[in-house]
Amino acid sequence: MSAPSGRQKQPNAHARERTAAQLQRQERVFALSVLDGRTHREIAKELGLDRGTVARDLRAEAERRSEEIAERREVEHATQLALVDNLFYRSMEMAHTAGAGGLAAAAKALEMRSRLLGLDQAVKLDTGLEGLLKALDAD
Amino acid sequence: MATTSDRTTDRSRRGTLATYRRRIRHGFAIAEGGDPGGLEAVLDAQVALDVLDPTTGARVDGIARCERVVALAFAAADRGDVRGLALVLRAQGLILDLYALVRTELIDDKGAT
Repeated sequence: MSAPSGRQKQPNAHARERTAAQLQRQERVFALSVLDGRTHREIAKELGLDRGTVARDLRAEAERRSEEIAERREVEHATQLALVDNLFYRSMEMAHTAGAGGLAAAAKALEMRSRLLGLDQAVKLDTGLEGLLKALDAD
Repeated sequence: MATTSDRTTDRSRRGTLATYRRRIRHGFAIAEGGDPGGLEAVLDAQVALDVLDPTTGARVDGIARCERVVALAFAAADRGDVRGLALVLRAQGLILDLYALVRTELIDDKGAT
């Protein structure tokens, strides 16, 4: 791996420059904007910030999250797999009381598990037929 | 230079995005009131936003919303509501799609620099 040049942006450089309190604030700003659908003006008023700070916090948090997504691929994959397994067992349990709804959810969980493990990909099978045809041609 | 038509299109697009964001806010409010049906509306609106705003930032927002849907839908399933499980699965499917897109875009960005 090549050493990063001085001009290149370091991963999480922005996050490292920020204090814990600032990171906590930017997470709160992000939640209010993305999850609660508040405008920049509403967030600024509620948290006593200026609108420029709100905009900067939102950019910084989005950047931090996208870097985290890129860096934590294996961990996320394992977490998703554990969650889907948990869902499968819960769905099967619920099938006793909720019937078809529980079974449908269990089937969907299995489908997602296959997708996570890459089992839904097309696989080229070697049936040996090609070799047999070549051998027949040679004869 | 942006024409009047461009500005009208942009205003209309921003209006549509705002409508879907309001639906998301409303859906979460319904779900927090105990009806997981609100989460269905959140996911429908999120799918529409994914098409209307195909940027990395919007996808990161979408992942955060779907993660909240997962948390609220799990709570509904804990109360014995089977719709909760179906919603967790739907939200997880969207999260997987969005993760894949964000990773691809970040790799493309790094490759381009």
